[in-house]
Amino acid sequence: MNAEISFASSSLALDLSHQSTVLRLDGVSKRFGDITVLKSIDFELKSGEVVALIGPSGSGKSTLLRCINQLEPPTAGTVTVGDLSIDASVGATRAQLAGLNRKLGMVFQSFNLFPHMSVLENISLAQRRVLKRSREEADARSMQLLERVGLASKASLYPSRCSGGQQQRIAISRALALDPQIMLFDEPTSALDPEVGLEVLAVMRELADEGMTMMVVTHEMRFAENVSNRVIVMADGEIIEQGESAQVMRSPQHPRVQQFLSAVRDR
Amino acid sequence: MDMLTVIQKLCAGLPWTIALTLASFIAGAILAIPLCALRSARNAHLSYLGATVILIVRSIPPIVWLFAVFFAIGQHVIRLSPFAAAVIGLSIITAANLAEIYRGALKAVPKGQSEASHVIGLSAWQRYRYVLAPQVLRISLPSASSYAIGLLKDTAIASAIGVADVALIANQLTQQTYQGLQIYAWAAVGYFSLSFLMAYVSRAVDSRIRMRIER
Repeated sequence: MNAEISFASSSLALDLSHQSTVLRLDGVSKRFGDITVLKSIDFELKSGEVVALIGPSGSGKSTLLRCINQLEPPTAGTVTVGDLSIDASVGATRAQLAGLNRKLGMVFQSFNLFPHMSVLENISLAQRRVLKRSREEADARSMQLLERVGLASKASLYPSRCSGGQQQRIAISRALALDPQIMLFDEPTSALDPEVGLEVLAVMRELADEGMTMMVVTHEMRFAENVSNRVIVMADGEIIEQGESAQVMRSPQHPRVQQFLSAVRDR
Repeated sequence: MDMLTVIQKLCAGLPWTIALTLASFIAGAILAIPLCALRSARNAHLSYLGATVILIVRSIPPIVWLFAVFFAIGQHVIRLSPFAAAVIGLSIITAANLAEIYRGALKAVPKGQSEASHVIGLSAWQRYRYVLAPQVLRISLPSASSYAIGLLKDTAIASAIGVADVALIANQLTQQTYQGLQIYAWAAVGYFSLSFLMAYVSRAVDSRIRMRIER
């Protein structure tokens, strides 16, 4: 793959204020038994916006992401994606979940490719079974996506024959194949060594430049600063600071955020 | 009676032994799917029901099952041939054992596989059909094939209800000739060859899958 790996500051600071809201959380909470991992989160995501979610481990970043697509059903609050609104007190119907999954794509830390299928089959499966595309149509779309991430030559291999960075790019293709409106990334580079992680970040950066709406849980501070439009810092299940990326990253206000950023910067 | 005749006669029992093993294993492997689903059900009552069925089936010795099916059901409910009764009895036992093997395999599939299936929008049926079942099958293969080899040997008890398998023929020949040592030795060779063949085939299949999929 020859995609350019550069992290110069985004060329234009996007003005997203006129964009429509594509995702909205109202008072979303999540409790596991006695432990509250998300405390009444309110949040809005505009079309085309790239948001980085950062913060110490256990702060609830991943849970927030997983509450959005109901992998972890919230215990309170409302998740609204487009015209779909899921109230935690009622729960999601099967049709709502199906609609939600159509709008949201998700990429996991551990890739979660299907090990018994070829790379091509991994990407084509849901296109055929969920979107009911023909095999030809699905495979053509899969190949097109694989070419885009520089992995067309791996189409017939099993995922285990691919490196971690390649597997993650395949996982991104699998999500994109379903034409999602929003992409959720849950620490997409945390399982990769730093060099390989850059291949994945480059693909994500391209995606952001093309205008994809993204929410990225990450420990990649440069990505947060340079690619995302907005940074949200979480700690103990709450959003403790958020704002325009450069501002949060360079001059954080909250002492907890200052402490966190200086800790990760000093490495 | 010379040994060649003994071997020939014993070989006449082989098809029965093989048929009994195959039929019970296939029927059991299919029956084990709903039983595993019941045992793995999220509803606690259903799960207990499944666990109870499995426990009861596994705690009763195979020969008691065979007698129960043949003499109780086979003579009072519907007439069953010894072969049919043996297949029914053995496939029930196989189902209980394979259900536990499937359940273990299902637990061994990483949670991320289900999560990935959810987020790409697969239905529950599609998730099992395309993602989980193939992986469960692959993980179950070594345990299921060693169970199959155990089953092959358990089929010998079908001779007790009159299935003309290798064990029954060996027993009859011994009573006719009093050459028990040689006859049972040859019967053992027969069982050994079949077991060996099964182990070989399952290992070949397993390593083929492994070669393709694993790193």
